[in-house]
Amino acid sequence: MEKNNPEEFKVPFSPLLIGRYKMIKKIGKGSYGSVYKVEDIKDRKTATTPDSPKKYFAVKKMKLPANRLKIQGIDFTTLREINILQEIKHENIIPLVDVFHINRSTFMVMELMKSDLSKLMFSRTITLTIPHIKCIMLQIFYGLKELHKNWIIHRDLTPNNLLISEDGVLKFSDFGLSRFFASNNRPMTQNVVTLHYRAPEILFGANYYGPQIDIFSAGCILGGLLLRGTLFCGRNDIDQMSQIFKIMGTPSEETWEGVTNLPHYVEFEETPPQSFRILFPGIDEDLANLLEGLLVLDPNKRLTVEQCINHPFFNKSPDSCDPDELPMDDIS
Amino acid sequence: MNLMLKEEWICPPSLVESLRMKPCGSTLAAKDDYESKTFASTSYSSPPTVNGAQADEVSLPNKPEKSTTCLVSEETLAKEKVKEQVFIKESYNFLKLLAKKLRYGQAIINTAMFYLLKYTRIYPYTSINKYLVSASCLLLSAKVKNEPIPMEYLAEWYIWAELKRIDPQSRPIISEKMKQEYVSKIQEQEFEILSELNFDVEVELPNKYIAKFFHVSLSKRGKPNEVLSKHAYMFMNDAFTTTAPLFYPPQEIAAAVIYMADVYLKKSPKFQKTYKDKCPSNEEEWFKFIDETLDLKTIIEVKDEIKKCYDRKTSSS
Repeated sequence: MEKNNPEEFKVPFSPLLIGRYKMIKKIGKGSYGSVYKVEDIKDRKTATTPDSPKKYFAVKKMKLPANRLKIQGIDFTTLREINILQEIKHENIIPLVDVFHINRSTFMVMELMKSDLSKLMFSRTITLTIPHIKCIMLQIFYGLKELHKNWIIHRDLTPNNLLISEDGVLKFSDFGLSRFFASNNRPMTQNVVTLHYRAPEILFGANYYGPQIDIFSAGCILGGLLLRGTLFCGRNDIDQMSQIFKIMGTPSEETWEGVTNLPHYVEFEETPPQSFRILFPGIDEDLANLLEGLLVLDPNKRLTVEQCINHPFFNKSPDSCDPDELPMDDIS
Repeated sequence: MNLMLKEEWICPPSLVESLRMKPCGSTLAAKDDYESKTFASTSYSSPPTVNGAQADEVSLPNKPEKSTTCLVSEETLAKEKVKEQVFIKESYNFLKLLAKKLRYGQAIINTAMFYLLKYTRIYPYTSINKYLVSASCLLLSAKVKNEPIPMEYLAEWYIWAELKRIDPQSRPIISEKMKQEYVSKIQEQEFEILSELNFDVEVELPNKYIAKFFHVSLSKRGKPNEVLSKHAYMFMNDAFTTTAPLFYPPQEIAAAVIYMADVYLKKSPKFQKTYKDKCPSNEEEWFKFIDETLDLKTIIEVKDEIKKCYDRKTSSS
């Protein structure tokens, strides 16, 4: 075998990855690396008819790990992401097709998606009705349920990471920050979740938190869908907190037990909680109730995924629409 | 030191036969890997040696035997098995030494051991540098278990352990250049292991099932026996010095080590008197607490497999 062959590790970065995936164009970039659209050549050769449809995939090229941490070799967040995606197979979680490595950088082959939720959310030409919102939120909760059932916190739930396929099926992606909870009692980092979707307990620097932080992010997304913008849009940590408390009210020992003991606890000017029915005129009582339940400051009082799915808001008419009825055509 | 390392790469004549060792009652995917990959990539006539010169030497004596139905006598097979056991044991000891220096727990060692065992199903144990592979496996399992460590640290301790192994009296001096060399070596090895494992790094350890058994027995029979659980975990750690974890699911391993601990405590003079009540084997079908599908026959089979690591120890000493 080519065990000792040093040329194995000097494969040039060619447009044809491992002789199978033909690079077409770059479609995305992030802190993790870049995403390319590729065509599966191998599949087309084996197909019986030459006119069979071309198979496209998205390839995520992971960045090499930061050298300043002095952890070399494969990045352990990449490893974690691969590990999680291989373990979980669910309709609302992006399937991992293949993993390979060239020259010490890892490539993950995933299903190609048409768009993501942020495009749908911030588009000025699309109208989102209550059935549409119900459909989107239910899909988010189904995905979260599967994750939390497997003891995983996503920790980066934002509209950018929720991809939408052509049929309108929402899929979770980017598990680089996810981790298993309840596995060990090591303190957790506070540098998780995009600032605008970060839960108050992380902002206060809690060392231990649970799946409730994903629920808070889901609440921010629901608020964003109603507002067609970002619900809490802070410039920094303190500003973010004050924006949250302006709507949800300032936490105290009575409303949130143990809040004053958190490491980064700061006292804010006392403001009473506002009603969502005043903030969003025209929404019904159940929706306001659900929003309130998702955005409760005390993580122990926040709704669980089960409670969210069984919430009366989803049982009332108008019923949630089918995924393929989402207004996908208007996304440019 | 390079000379020392090279010795490991020499391939003995009976290499191909060692690959033919039949795993008993395998249920894991590892067996499929073992059969399809080893035989597909390393065909019979060309064993996967490093140097061409050695390869010729190796394949020649095997040719006459090719036509016979039984490829190798049972004696050679048993010898090979003992050799493999020695190999696993030595790599385990090295891994444990390294993990102790890096302050890693037993779970990480066991996971690393699992990767090493799986890797030896694909590359025969005689053709790999066990010390380098164990260090890379430790690095990988530490990352999977969420406790990554700087590579330079690992390389430093790796060189230290290597030098100590050759000469226990020496006081190793590790230069920066040497460190960098080993960092890249371990890194290459890590990627190779990963691609051979097909990036499938999830390992289910038997810990979960042992804990489940003692938890269930707590509700059924009152206080669990602490001595028993302690010994069960000890036997479980030893089980990773055999090839058993590859061929049997974690439930069966868990049942087997509890059975072993029970038998051991009943026989040992130290615990004989105090250990009497609440022993699992007194109760019928105690293993149903772990998994519904288990039966006593397979448990005894697994137990015999794990026991081999002790047999060899006594015969050699």
